[in-house]
Amino acid sequence: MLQIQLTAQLDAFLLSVKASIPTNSIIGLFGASGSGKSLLIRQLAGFDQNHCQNSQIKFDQICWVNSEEGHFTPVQQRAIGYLPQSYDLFPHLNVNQNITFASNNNPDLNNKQLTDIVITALDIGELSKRKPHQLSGGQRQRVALARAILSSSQLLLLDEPFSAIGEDHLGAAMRLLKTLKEDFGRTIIIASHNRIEHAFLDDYILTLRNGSIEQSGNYREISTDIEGRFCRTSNAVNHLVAKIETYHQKYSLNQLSRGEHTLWAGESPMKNGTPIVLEIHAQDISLFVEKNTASSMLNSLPVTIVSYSELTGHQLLIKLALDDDFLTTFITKKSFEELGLTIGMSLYACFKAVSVISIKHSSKQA
Amino acid sequence: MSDYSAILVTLKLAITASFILLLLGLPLAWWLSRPAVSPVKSFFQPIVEAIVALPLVLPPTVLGFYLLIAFSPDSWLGQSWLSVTGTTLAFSFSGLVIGSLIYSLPFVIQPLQATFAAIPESTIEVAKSLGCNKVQLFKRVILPISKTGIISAFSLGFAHTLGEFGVVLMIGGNIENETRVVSIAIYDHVETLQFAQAHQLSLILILFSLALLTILYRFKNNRVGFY
Repeated sequence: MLQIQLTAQLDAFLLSVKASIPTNSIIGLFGASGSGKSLLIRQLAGFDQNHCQNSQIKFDQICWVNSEEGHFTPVQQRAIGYLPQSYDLFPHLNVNQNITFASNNNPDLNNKQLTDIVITALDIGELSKRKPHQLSGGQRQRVALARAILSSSQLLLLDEPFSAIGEDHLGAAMRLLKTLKEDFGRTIIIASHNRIEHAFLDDYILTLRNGSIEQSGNYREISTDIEGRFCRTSNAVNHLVAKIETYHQKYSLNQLSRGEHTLWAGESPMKNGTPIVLEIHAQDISLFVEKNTASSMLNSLPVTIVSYSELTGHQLLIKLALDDDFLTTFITKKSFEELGLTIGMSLYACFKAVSVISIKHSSKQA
Repeated sequence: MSDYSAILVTLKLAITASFILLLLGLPLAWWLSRPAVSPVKSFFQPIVEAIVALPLVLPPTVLGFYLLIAFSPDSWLGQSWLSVTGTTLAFSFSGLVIGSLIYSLPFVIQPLQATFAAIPESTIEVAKSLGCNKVQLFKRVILPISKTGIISAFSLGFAHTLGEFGVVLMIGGNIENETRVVSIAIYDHVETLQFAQAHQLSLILILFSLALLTILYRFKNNRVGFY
């Protein structure tokens, strides 16, 4: 467990966070700009010591901060990996020297197997002799991410780690973090305001607002909690993980599978078996009481109504169960009444293949 | 022959003074370059900066005058120097070194401070997150990043000490092989109407300083290639 009880006054901003987070998982920090995501990451890393009061941070029973007892473990002894938004690659060192920097301080971090995995996944092998000023923005971010990963044995703190990484590398970079969690026992905290990154990665999510936690819990629960702010937004989206089955050349369509269901989505051809995330806006999902085969909507999934909540005067936010997952959609109160919808009712959730707007989060060479 | 010894004394003085200045200057410039977090530091920082910059604005005679007083065997400095070394500071090479340290201090501190201040706080934080303790932080990050600035600071301190005149005149006098530096030798030649020798020494000083400054600015302008 990572136990955080934190009060930090930074100029006019008060960061006040209390949370218990499972370790060996990926934890997302979500919130608007200025909500305190970066500051929370800085506090966990061990910066701005002077500003924290009444604070306690414990990582897997090891006490990092206990302001009552005056205990504070300095950052260099926390064995963390830290990626700031400014990257801060060392200008006098080449890429290879940058990413192996930490293992020169602490030989225990020297891990050939992990180094190779990271270099391959982030595709930075060919850059190894270049200096930071010879790299593009995306390359710099990948190198800085590699350096952070290779400097930690336990906790990785990543502030917007994918903001400059291009489409070609994004999928592999995100899958690398899952590998780190599953095969190398890392705990990873990611600050991001990009919902699709959270959908792909998060086991657990903390949403921040004005320096305080608004919602926290398992990602799946929070992302489908129709009473919570994370879900209650007019641009609410659904993310479904699916697998590529085949690419139909004739229609330029990908046929996908999700459990026993078949889905269709456009975009470029991808290798069979590639896991991808489909992004479907809640407003693009229509509900049908009976299976409708004569429709231009290619995707039709059997769902059950779990709950509903009033969003605005005329709109309802509906939570639907799909196997062991959930979908959300908006419908009018009028439709709700006229179709006689009730909790527990079985329906079909349909959406057009063309409204599946993002299936980009996997690398094309995968 | 005496011109030759004047050149030797000048080089010895400039090298000694700029090395000592670099050693003293590195920690002082680092302290000055980092933003003050405590009220004590924010109170003292501008005072120290002003003291460091004083030699830029004061006439060398003022410095020389007070140094002369400090060097006299009646003062605590002159007295303790006398009891430790058995010699007096005034009109000695050691006295010249001390004078040069003060006289050239801003020329070493200011470029160092500017270089250090250009290192973002976040780079230092990342270095710490990568496991650097204080020694490793300086050895592996701050000093290598500041290489150009350190070379600049050393060269400027060196070049400025070469051209020192007023302070030397006040505290060093004109003792061959001890305190007779090039600038004093030139003055002497002019006083005694030996213009040919004055020309010779002046030209050497001009060419040497020009070469030094050219190399220095070359490094500065090729900052990136230098890493």
